[in-house]
Amino acid sequence: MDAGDRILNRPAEALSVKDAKRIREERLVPLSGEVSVSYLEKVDSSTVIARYLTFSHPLLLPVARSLSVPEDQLPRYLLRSVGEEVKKGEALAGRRGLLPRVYRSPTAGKIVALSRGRVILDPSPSTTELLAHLSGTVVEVIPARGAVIETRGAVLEGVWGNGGETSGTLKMVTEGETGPLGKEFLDFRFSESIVVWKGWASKEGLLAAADAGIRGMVLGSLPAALREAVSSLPYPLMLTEGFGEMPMARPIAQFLGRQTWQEVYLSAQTFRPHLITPFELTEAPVDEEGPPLSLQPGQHVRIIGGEWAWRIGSVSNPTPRWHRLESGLFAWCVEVTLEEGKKVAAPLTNLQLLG
Amino acid sequence: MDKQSPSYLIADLGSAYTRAALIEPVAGEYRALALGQATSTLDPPWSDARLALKEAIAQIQTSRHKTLLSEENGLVPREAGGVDSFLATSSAAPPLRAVALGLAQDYSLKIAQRIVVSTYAQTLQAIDARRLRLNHGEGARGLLSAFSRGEVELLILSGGTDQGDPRPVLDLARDLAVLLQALPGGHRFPILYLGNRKARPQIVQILGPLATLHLADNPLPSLNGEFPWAAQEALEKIWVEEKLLPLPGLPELSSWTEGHLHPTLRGFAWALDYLAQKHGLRLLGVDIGASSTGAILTQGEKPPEMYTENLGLGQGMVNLLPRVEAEKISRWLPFPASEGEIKEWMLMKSLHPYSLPQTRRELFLEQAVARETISTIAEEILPADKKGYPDMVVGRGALLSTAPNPQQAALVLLDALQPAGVVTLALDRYGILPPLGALAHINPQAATQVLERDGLLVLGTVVSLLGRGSEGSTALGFQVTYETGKRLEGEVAYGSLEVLPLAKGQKATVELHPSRGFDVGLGRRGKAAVLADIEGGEVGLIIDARGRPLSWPSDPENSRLKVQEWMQEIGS
Repeated sequence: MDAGDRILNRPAEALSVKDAKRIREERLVPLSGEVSVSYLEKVDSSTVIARYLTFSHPLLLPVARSLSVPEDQLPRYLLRSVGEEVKKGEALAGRRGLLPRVYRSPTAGKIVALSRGRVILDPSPSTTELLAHLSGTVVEVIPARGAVIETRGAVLEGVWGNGGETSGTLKMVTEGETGPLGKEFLDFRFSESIVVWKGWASKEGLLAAADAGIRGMVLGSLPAALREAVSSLPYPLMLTEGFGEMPMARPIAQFLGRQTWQEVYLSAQTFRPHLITPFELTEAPVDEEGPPLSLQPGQHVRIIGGEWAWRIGSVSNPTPRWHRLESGLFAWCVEVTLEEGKKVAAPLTNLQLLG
Repeated sequence: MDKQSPSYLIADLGSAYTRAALIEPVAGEYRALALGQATSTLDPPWSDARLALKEAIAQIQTSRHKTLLSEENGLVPREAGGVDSFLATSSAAPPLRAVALGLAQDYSLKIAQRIVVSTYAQTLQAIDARRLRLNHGEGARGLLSAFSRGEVELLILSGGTDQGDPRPVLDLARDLAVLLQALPGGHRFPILYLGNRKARPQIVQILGPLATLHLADNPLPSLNGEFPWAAQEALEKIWVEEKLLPLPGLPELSSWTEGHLHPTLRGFAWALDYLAQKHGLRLLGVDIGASSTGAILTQGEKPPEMYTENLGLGQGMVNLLPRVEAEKISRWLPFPASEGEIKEWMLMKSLHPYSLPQTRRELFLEQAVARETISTIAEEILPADKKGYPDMVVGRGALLSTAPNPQQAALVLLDALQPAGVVTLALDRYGILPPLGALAHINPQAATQVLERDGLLVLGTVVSLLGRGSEGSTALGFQVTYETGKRLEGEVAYGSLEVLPLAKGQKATVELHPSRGFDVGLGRRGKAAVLADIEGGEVGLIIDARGRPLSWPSDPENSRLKVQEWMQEIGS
């Protein structure tokens, strides 16, 4: 059964892989803060957009145990009183004698109580700065929250991130390797940069990257067994393909190759992580396209699942046809030509437009 | 069409799919005349819920040669050939992240948490007054830390019966006020107050200047009963305001509904309750979606009980991973699958919630996950001993309604729920039961007619045996007498499923003779039963003699063969 004009041929998903696009990026604090930029202000990656307070849990400091004194004797050894504010590193308690010891406050705060040999310290709220992380113009100020920055640049959207954000120079770890990330590839040359690995993660590789002091990572895929572990990595990480052992799709690897040595911004949020390469502000403005409402011949698409899972092809016939899948389900499908020339029918629900 | 009778456009907006239907009278009876469906467009680059709805409506327009949307993309009124009203339900928004504060864990906090799970919300923390003050405010500072990170979206304050001393809950409110005053920038949280009614005026004085205060009837007005329904409705309204309406395109869409925009689970509950009241039945509904799964149990004169969690077959699949071991999923598969393969498939599916299973392997994986998801949710609402099992189960969700054949949908429900006794199975055929539930509030006749003619797809009646036997031994003898007088007799072996022909619209009398040790749901083993007016359906009359709970051979290969046998026996 043909669709005619009855069924639109819109793909279910679309990820941006664009060399030039107008970008509007929201930079917001979690709850409420003090915004320090104004409308139409020019910003760069180190500009502070807003500042906000975060509160930490009270600390129960095991002072008596550290000083090796009885719990009920702790008050004798205190150097500061309940209710006092202390600075980080200040001595809270001390013991003289042959083996003198001092217990220093791990952070600034207020001593609120003593309890069973412990000092309860209420850490001072800390001020966190929200940086712009990219260069552009403030086009909207959101009171007490932050701002929207507009810029022009290249954009790559990924499929999953481990949280966090960073900015830095983008560097390819290697040109050709597409397998597991080996620790031998990472060293001090990648310190303070955002690295691209065209294959998949390995535990050793991820740890070596942390030791090398990288700022962030973009890679093809992550074995499912490592998913929990990456949440505690000291750098943000973005996947372009997903979970498993899949190399990065060639168009995406080529796109990232074009961004190498550029200053980029990586937002590794779990849903729709993305990498932005802002242009110089002197670049000409880019025409804004609307969202894709229908597939066109020649567009690059990724097939989600099935016999041709994760393969990239181009739309060869965008007219939707009602098709029975091997699973027994029926779906509106379009014709996609894979890179080797094979033509396949792919459900619209299982197509991710790349572009 | 009868020119006097109103016509309706109804829709359900999910996180993965948007469905719409045109409801109009034909020959004096309301019918669902045309349907449309599209993948939802909340996510970038579309970022507008209306786009998918317009695509679904466009399909209806083409089918009925009718214009329902104007060029300016508003609804065409009835006078110009459109519809009288538009009603919608939605589950598209994420759950509200709530912190419950109460006086006591066993009373006020317990019921507050039950209210939270009755709709699209989740409890981040449940803190009683003592813990808030423990260790010189450790609990309070922990809460402040969560506030400052933007993790909390709603506070629920409960405690005290309506005739009791209001001072404890007022002290708790004052503690909360101190915390709120410490927050930077004067952020105003929504607070839902459910506690002692006598304390309300002072609660308003203490918290009103600091928060957006919502008041609802105390779910525990005395120690003699729980009345959570007003609080549930209040929480649903907050979810609609704080989570649903801020989604792109929703405010405009909401204006089309003129106030008839409700959570999907609520609409589904209304529809089931309506059927339950009309036919004097007890109904269980299960709604398995992409981002959430819910269960509803009708309760006679009382409003239905509802339960939902952020588990599903799309984005919600990732939340099942820490709850269910891969073995519990692989036991439903007719082929070997490693833990790694299952986890990777589940993680990828959560990244691509719109995708359909293209291969049989993917289909069976999805159906296996669906079984565990439905089971996890349903056990929160059903008694463990299966006594007083509902008369009818209604399943909804794309996995069930678009299964390659109705037998597969029936088997998923049977495996997931493992019902006891005699139960009718049905599906929400087109995914429109929730907005029909909303329609029932303004035109009960229209809603009932469409529900019964078009909305429900009856799969058939299941007779499930309780008890254990040896594999292959006779568990039950049966005799089916059809309305034509024809008879069918036979025996069913323990460990198997038997499907007997009984088509939609047909009825039969069924005599059951369980072997000693087996119970057909009458509470006595070996006792025979005669069941009159058993209804047929798309699958027929199913006898499930696999015992409860289901068991598998310990050897993996034999276990897979057993699963294949069950699939063959039901005809999938």
